[in-house]
Amino acid sequence: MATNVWTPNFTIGSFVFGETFYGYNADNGQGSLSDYTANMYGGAFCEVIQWAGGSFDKLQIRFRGDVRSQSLAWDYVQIGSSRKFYYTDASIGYDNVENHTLFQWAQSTNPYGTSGTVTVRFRKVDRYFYMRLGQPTSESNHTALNGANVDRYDVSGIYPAYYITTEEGDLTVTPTLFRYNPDQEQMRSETVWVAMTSSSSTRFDPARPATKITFSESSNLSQGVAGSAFTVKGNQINDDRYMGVYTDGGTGPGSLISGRNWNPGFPGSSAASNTSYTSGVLARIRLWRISAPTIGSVSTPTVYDNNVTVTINLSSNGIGVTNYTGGTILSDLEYGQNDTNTPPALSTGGSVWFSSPSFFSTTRGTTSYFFARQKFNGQEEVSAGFQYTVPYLQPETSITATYQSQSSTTHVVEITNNSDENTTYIIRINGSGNYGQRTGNGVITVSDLPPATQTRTYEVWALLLTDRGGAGTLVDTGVTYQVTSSAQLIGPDPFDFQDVYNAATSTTYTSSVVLSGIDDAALTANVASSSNGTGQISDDNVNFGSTVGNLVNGDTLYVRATSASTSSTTVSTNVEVNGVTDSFLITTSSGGGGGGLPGGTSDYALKLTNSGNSTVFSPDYRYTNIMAQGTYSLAAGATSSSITAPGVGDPTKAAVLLLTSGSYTISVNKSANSFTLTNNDDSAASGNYIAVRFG
Amino acid sequence: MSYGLRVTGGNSILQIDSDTEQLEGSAIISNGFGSSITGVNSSDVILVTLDFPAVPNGSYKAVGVRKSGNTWEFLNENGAAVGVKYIRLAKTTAFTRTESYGLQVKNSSGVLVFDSRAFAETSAPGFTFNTYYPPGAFSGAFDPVASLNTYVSINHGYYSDATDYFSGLVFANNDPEAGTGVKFLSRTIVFGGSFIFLPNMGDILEGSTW
Repeated sequence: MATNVWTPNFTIGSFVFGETFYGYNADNGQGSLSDYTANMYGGAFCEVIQWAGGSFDKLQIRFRGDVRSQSLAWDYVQIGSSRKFYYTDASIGYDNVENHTLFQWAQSTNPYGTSGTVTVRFRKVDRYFYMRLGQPTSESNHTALNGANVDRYDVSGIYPAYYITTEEGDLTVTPTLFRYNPDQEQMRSETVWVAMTSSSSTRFDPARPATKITFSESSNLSQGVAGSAFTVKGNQINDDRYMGVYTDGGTGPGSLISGRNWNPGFPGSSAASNTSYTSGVLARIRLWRISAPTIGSVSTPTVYDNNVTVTINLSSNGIGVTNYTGGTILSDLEYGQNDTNTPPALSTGGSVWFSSPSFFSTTRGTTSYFFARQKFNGQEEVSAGFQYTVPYLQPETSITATYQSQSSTTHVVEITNNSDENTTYIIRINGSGNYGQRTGNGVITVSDLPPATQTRTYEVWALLLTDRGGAGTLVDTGVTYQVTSSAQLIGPDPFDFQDVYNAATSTTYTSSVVLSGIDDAALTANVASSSNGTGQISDDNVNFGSTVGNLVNGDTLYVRATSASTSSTTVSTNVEVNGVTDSFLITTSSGGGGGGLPGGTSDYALKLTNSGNSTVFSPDYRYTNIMAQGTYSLAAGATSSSITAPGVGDPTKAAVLLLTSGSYTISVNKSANSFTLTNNDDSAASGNYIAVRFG
Repeated sequence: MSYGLRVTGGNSILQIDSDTEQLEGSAIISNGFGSSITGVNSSDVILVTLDFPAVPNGSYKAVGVRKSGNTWEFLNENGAAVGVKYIRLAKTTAFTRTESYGLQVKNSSGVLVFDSRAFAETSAPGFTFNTYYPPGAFSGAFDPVASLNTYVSINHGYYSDATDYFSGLVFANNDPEAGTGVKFLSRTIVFGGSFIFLPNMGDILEGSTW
């Protein structure tokens, strides 16, 4: 809205000069107000009788009519204390009109004019007012209202005006007058002096100095932009005068800034010859320093992509520039991005700085610095860098895993309830492996099944791939499920502990077997029974007990028991592995029983190795010698002659093997170093014998 | 002993004694798997065994011997050939030796009683007896001898279809009658079809290779 806005002219009333107008003492000339009023011949009253709140900063009352008189000097229009001389047409302005301000005019004797019209107009009127026009009823009662017309003029809100104005004369002032101080954030003021100097003898009215400064950029008036040109308008300058704008000299004008001559022409008042007059004018220049915005956050949308756009959200726009209507100008708010905490080059636009709203494409996991700045009229203020790393999207972990079925080597689990179809689910065991996977809801065939009859817990891990915005790392959903194999335990192959015969009494014997034929499921061994309670088993030959678990193919199972305290007694320890059993028997020796042969242990004597460095003869080994071999042919009941065989009487050193060649009964009769054979049958018998020495 | 070589191992086990003419060393001259052995000398000690894979669960295999000259056939109680793992232990003099190194010991009669080269004849250098069963130790009716896969002497083995006489070993695997392990079986059929079990007449030896 333009600043120099006046209301329309409101016609207060019209009148006709007549005899009721009283004459004027022309000799009295100009004088005080009372003098004028006392001697005026005719006139009218225009009185502002009420203000309904509010105010205006200028009232202009204009008289139009033929009121010419014989003497220019004595014809005038006066409002309050302000008077203007005129001929046929005159207007005067009056500031800060208050209630009941008197409008009057004086006219000399024998006026030429016969009628006139009084109009008023206002500026900065925000309420309504009343005015009335009257005529003096007598010479001494010129203030009385007679036949007044009372009208209401409501201009509330229609014609706002903000600044004073003048009517004539422009003077452009050097713009450097108003200096911009970027360190000041508050409104500042500059004082200039407007001096008007009369160069002639024409009259100059000191009551009406130049009172207005109008910036050439009217739209920026209230902003007081540094360097903007402005215009000073003189008021009531109606003669050939010089008006200049000076810097503030403290008590008066300082240096001349700009000036001009102009002569608005006749009519007008004139000041005394060579009279100068100065008037201080306060130019209120509102200089706002802009400040940088503040970035409150940087956000990214949930887009399943590695490259996403980010949005810069300001927590503060910074301080901008307030225009005359109270709004804020932030037309130059921009955003930038950099890999380091350094703003992009200032005053650079295009791909570096973007206007609001601004978007930047950034790779997830990459740290960038974001900036916001405000530009205004050459000034740039940039925010601190806002460090932001576009986060990876997290895989959806709120899922349900439900076991479905199993085959011989696999099982099926169903993933449900996940809210997106981008997460890949992987089945793991104890945090490792990948036994099956899928993306989103659905079933997974898991390439694993626990051993027969056993239960295994499976874990569901989640993965959001990088091309879907994730970090590409596995995340434990915490969701598990269990599968119990319906397969049956298989194995082991039958096993046989080497039994002990001819055992010493009350001696602990140990035997072992290597288990085979076990399927993938580990088995458990138990001591099913122990005839004397001493039977125990072990898988390490160290720790013995009644049970050994986790037996798999190739494991060695040990059994031990203590032989009986009496001869010819068998101690039985029955060992069971998944239904397969064997009894470990320890039989103590008797006169007719067999016996174990102690092995040799020595670190001396003869030891031989072959070319392959394998031991072929050692004191640890029993070496077999053939002592005697031959045939026998015995009649029924006959006994052979003695056959020499050193040591054959000691069963721990030698033995006699008979080669059976028929159905008969031969007995061997051993002595210390020989033996005989006896045919116990009722028919002849023959065969071979071999006597061996092994100890 | 005024000359010669006498070697004893730990526990005073006599190993070599060149002064005792009756002692002639032995070693494994052959071993393997089969249902017969050829070249068997009368002084050879034959040991056989079977392990689980060869004996199905719930059954047994009987191994007897039919001797024809130097050939021994392994037959079951029904006369069918039975493959077994066997070891043939022979005198040192039976070996063919070509190496020019080693240790030889002869007795006073010039008989070679020890030759270290003999131990290289087979993949198993030597054999030692671990357990003995004297004559009469077994009744003949599936008497337990050893665990499966243990070599047991079978010089006593015999099979005669004509006399229904069987003497040998039984390798049993969870068999309802024989149980599990190596058993001694020696029996004949009498009138009425019943069996008579016969005890072992000579020693039965059980041992292992080294």
